[in-house]
Amino acid sequence: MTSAAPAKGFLPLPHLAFQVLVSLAEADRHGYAIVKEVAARSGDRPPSTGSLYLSIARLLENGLIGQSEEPADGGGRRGRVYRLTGLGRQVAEAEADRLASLLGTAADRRLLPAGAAHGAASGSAKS
Amino acid sequence: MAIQPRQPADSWRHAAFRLALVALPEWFRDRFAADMEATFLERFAVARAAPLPSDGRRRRPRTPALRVLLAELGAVARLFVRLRWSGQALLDLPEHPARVAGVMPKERLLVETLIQDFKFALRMVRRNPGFVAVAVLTLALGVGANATIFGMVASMMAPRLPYADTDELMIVWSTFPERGIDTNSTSPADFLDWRSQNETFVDLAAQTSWSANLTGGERPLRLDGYRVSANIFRVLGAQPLLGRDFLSSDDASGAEGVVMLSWRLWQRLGADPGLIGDSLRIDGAEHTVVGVMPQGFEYPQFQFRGDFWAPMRLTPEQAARRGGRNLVVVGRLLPDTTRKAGELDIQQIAEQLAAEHPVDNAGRSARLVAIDGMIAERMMPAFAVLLATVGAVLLICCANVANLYLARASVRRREIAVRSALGASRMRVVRQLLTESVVVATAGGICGYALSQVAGTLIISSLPAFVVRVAPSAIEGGADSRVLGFTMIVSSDRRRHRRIRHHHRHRLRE
Repeated sequence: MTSAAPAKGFLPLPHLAFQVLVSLAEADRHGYAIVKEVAARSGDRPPSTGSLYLSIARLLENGLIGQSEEPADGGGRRGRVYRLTGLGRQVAEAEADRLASLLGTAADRRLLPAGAAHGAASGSAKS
Repeated sequence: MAIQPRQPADSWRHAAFRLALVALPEWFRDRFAADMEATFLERFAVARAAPLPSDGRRRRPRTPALRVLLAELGAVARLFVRLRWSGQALLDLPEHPARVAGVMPKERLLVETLIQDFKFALRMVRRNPGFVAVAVLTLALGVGANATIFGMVASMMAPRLPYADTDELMIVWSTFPERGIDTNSTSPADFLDWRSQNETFVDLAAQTSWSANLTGGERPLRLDGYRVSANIFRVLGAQPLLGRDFLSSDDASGAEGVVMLSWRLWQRLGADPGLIGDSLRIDGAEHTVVGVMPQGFEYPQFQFRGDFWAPMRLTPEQAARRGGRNLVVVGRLLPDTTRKAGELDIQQIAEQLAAEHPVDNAGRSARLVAIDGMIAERMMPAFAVLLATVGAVLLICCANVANLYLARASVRRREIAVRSALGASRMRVVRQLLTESVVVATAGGICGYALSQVAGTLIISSLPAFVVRVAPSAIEGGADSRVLGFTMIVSSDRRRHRRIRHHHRHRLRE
């Protein structure tokens, strides 16, 4: 938990930045794969390319994600592959924690079915 | 970072997206444009491949693809605005709310304060209508006087002449230095020699006045016209509105009489296009109308307005005459030839003519005056006095307004003290006061300009006809951009602002 303090400095994360981190926590992905994954998982409208790359730029700039040197598919048209860094994982965990406690409070005030909040809270409690 | 091979765009949508990316700041584009393009292409391809709509239409639904394209372009536009506004600061995490939530740091703050100051200044105007009215009126008088005089001087110093490339056009005056004559007309023989021997002009043309009687209609008319060399309109770079230009054969001795009408005379005669080809009896001789010059065309510009122009058709005797000097010569210099070079050229010819024809030409020389500098040359001292006078009037007005502001500043002491106490920086207070005075000065400038338009018409109506003829652009009036520019400069009047600022510095120190 020594690195929890620098990770907290990034909170709260913008929504899309958090989505990108969550997506990359599963696997390394290129830009469009992130779009697809975020849209499929959350059911939201997929983020536009412009906002996605602003998020990616921010996460790269702050060292939360890294990128492959060469585009994927041997110079094909898919773009670079992005991966979560150690710091990125810590920040994602801290943000998840923050959201989980927020959700816990929401559930306490009957804004949420208790099970959903508990699931989220217990998921983040493992870290 | 590896540079991506640049591939041609697949489609116009791809090209549009790529073009939109060009707007992004370079530092962002270098890092992400290629990846953004790749992502866009995949998204777009998926949108295009969307399944057929359930209503069984055969055509592939283009709308989802179009929607994706528009959304993507919109997102790039938003990104562009945010990046331009915040720059690299946009990449800070967490987001700084003031910076990132669509708000720009410095520039936005600047604009907002300006709007705030401006609104406050307008409230100040509403609260103190008397003070503002006096200040605005005082400024309007000063600015108006200056704008009026400046407008007249500008129209005479740099008249807008209805010719092509006026800077190449020169009036060639004959001079007689021994007798102090520097603006003399020329004899036909000298003109013809200048015209044939010079090496610096495209061509030379000449004109002399001809007051004539027009008979044959219901009533005879007295006309002011000019006899001209047939090339005059070509030298000036002017085209007839109707009909044809003069031909060089029209100028031959014994040629049929032809005449070019001014727009004004054409209107007087009924403005019938069928008039071309008709015959007019001028001073008892038949002249065929060959054309009509456009409205606003004058030549010469600085004499009475011409009703018509007719070729001179010099007889051999007239063409050989050196004694009678009645022609005013205008020439168009070859491109890239200076006035000085043209003048030296003509002076050499004049010297030679003086040697060949000592009886008429001994001691005669020539000089060139730019066609739009003719008035300026004579009137400069008078203009300088006029401008200095109205300049002094403006200074007095400014001093008065500055005094008004000083008196007012002592009234506003409390307000300023409160503002400072509430945390307004010195700069902030000064800026607010400056904005107020800019509002007043702008109002003064606008009123002054309006005043100058009225005053201009009044002055012109009281001027002798000669002066009015001299500056047709001043008579025709209307908004002159030069006057407008001058008014703006005059009303911005930094002296007054500096004084106010200076004064408030002291106030704040107290």
